[in-house]
Amino acid sequence: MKKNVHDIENILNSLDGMQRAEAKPFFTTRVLARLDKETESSWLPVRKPVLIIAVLSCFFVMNVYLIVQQVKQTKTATASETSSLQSFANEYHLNSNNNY
Amino acid sequence: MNETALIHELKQGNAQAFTQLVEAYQHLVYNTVLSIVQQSEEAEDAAQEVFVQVYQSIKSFRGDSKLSTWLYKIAVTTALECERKKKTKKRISLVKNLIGIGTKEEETISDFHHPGIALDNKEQAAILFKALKQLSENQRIAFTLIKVEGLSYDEVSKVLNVSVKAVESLMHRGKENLRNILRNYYPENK
Repeated sequence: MKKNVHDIENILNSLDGMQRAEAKPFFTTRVLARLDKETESSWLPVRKPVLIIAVLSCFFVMNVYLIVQQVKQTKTATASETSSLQSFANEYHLNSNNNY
Repeated sequence: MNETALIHELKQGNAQAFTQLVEAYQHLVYNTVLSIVQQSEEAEDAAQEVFVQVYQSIKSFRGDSKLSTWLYKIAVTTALECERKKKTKKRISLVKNLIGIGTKEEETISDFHHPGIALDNKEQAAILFKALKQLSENQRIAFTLIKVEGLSYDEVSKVLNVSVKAVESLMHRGKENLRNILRNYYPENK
């Protein structure tokens, strides 16, 4: 059987005269602590995935650039080293197949 | 410190003024969010979040409305956001359970008993709070602010950014919907 009209109206009026619920003691302390925590972590917003990806991409690009530069420098150094060795060998006739 | 001075000090970043604001409005905020989220731990968390948002956005407060109206707006938005997150979590865990990767968490759905309700009305109020969850957001907020926080229709209209007529209509339709829900939802009780 369905609820009668009187019961329904009683339910609708059941909040009349209610008291305000109060926050637990030391609520302010907890808010201030949370605020401190949020302020500390907000100077470097590492929680945002986009920023993390951007920073990691920068590191990756820088690393690739440095590696490429390093390889280029090594090639140039080897080439110049080879040519200087060659000239040294030429000067002292060390590249001939003469056997004494 | 009066309200204008308090707002001025808050905008200057005065920590003492912020403490004063929290002390003065903590119960208003807690009671509002508790009546919406209907769970004390979540209400505590949401109430803290409200004050963090107040601290972060006080500079954007233009003073067009009372400070309490602004706080009600933030409290209502935060509480509804909390509700939405909870619903999303529930859906995700339901899907996880369906495909067999979820952890079996037994959810205990218990009635919400507001601590400010007189003992005689506790059971009826629990039924009402449960039924309130089925109303549309605006009807629910209007009903909650008027019945729980004792706001006037005019104040609610400022919180919801609607006309007083619209609030009257929300309350009227809200009550009608509640009657229908209570008529059909608890047939076994009588």
